[in-house]
Amino acid sequence: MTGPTLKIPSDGDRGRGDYAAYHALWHLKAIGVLADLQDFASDGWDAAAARLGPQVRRTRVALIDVSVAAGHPNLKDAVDTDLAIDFFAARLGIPATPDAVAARVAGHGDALPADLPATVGPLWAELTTHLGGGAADPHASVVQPATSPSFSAHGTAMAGLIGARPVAPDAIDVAPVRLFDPASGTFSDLPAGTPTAFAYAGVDPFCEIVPISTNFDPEPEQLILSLLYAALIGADVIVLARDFPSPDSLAPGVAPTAEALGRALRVGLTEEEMTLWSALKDLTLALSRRVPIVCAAGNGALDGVLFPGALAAPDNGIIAVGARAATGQPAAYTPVGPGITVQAPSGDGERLDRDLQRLDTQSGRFNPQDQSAAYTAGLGNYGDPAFAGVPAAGTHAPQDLVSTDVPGRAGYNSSPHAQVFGRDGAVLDYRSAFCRFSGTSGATALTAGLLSLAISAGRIAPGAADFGVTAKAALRGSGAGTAAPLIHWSHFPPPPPEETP
Amino acid sequence: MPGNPFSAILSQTWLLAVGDSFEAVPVGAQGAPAAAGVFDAATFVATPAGSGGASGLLNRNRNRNRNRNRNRNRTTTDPVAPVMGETPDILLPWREVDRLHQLRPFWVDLPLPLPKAPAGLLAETETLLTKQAALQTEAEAPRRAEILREQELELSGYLRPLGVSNAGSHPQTVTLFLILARLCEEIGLRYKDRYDAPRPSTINPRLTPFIAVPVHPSYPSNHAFLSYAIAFVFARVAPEHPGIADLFLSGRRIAENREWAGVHYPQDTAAGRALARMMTPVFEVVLEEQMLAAREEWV
Repeated sequence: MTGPTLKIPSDGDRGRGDYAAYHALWHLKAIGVLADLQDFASDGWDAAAARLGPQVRRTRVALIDVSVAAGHPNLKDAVDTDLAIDFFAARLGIPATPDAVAARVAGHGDALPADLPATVGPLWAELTTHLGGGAADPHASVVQPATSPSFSAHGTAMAGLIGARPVAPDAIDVAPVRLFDPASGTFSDLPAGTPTAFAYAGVDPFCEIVPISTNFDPEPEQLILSLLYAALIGADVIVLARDFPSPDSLAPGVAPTAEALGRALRVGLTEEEMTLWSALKDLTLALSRRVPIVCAAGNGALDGVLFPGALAAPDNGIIAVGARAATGQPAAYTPVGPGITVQAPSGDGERLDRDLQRLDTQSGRFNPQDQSAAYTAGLGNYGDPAFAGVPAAGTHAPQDLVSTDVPGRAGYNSSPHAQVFGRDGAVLDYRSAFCRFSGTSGATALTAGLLSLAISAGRIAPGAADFGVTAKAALRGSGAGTAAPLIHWSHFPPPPPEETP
Repeated sequence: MPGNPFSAILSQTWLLAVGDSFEAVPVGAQGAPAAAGVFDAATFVATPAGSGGASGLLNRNRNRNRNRNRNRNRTTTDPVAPVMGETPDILLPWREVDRLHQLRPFWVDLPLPLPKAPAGLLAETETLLTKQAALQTEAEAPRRAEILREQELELSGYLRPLGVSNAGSHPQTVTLFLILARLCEEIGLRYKDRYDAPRPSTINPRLTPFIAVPVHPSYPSNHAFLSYAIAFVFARVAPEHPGIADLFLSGRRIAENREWAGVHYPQDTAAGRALARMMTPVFEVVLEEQMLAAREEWV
């Protein structure tokens, strides 16, 4: 055949989508938890393993988020299904295991801890009475928790980054690709005989994670109760990748009265609500002095930080976490500025505005013809063979974080299989058990995990009234005083060896 | 020999992000990357040979979730303008109705507080009288239009906060909301008939409702129930969506508009909200298929 070829001339210049593969745990090396990605040596993990014993309680991380798919192979030993609780569906919470929670509450719920604001006292009393079984109501026990694994993607990814446990090949059965031969009526497997581990780990695979699931109704009571529950169970670290949608944060700049904010938001706000929002703020500040509260800064690339991360100050334990891309640059979407306490690794983003020009030039969606050379000259992708060189502000990082995903059809990474497990119980699609994850949520999970590991390894010790403040200072390391240092395991050095006389 | 149980597992199998998928590569097996210092130079490794594996055979979902929508770009649009595009009608969702009734013990007797006695209801009408007077002011002209529009099922107030300006752009989400409307109507009527509470204008003749008073009982408010059910269920479908707080606020407005119209007490609104919250665990099981289909429009 002769003549012109039917071909768009500029298609040859488009991004090829030929990203290099990368190790799912690159972020653990970036924050120094793993010395390398060869032997995967970790002196933090070694120290935590050495401390484990019957008298050492595992570090308890309270994850105030959506629910977690606790049956995930990497999470089943990480999630404390006794203490998990759901505030989505019921006002005073539905404990996963009421007896275990009642036993925990016994002796702890008599009086509001002295360091918490008196304004939350009535809710503390209601919560502890409810959980202690003192007001057992068979009618109320009909209500189920809103914790279906199918709608637990965000919480599952958060939990994995914090505390997933690697699973050895002999501990899990992964189904091979199965071929059928119609001539003989027999099956054969492809590839033959290669065991597959769920070789994924969180920052602190020794911690225990307590999912505290919430809904997103902008009302303060469930958030107060969630924090009080974290205090009640003795959480060592609190993780808050979600924001607190208070009226003044939803309508910034409006006079902080029920009347004015109600008019701005077009609903009938009550004085009682405003009082509770105020109590929530006081509680967050007070509790953070004792327990570090790790908050996502937000993904809007603004100067400001989401509430409650915006409350971070040297005299409290609120930690506002921004995101740093694999290039070492701030991620395109992260807020920057003095409001950010630390940065932690996460995925990158694209921007083309006056402050930042950063595009994924390797993406199949990228066509230089659609762009202006005035903006895209010098842009490139970190790790693209077509763009070798030192990362600059315009360099886009294609690496996202990798975490655990709801296995099967649901979650961030879907599966063609309707069921997760085959007839013989083998996992049909291990790939759907992992997902890419990004945003300051992911950075927040890593930061909480690092604090947890520091506790598990005995480098910092919770319990003091100002533990939140001191833990935050340690987390910032020698970068204290400078803007947003990268979190790093080296900020938690071992105590100097005792001199032998 | 590492001093922890995990390093050895990780060093025997590499979990690699490859394109949009993942590969677990036994280290040292044929075809696996050589255990050289590649990771120490950078975080990259070359794409392992033959990495197609099952992901090359199966038609995988190519979603590259970046999960960074949350808390970004709250949609601020004209709060009154209706969403364009014809709201599709659906056939009777018999599968979902059937699933709902298989779970009957989990929802027929949820612990709603009992409605107030007539004296308490009369007291609640005081705030309704205030709203009735205010509704006639110029400042509340938009609310009057909303109330008239919201007499029938109207999805604009739920789609607009999500940034949907044309109902045709998110058909699975719209279908989810329509199925919810069908289920909420049935469940709500069951609870209404149980308590058989009188409407405000029956209790206080000084109230002259802005719209025709529905003939069924007052408690709980089905407008509140449906509005909050949509918000709670969507908060399970896509909690990453930046418009969730606005969706709740818009639902609250629709529910409160029924008080302004003089057809519901505040207690009816609160009960509808409470019922929706307690029903969400049932809905997320009954509607799992449709919720996952709707999620794919967002994530």
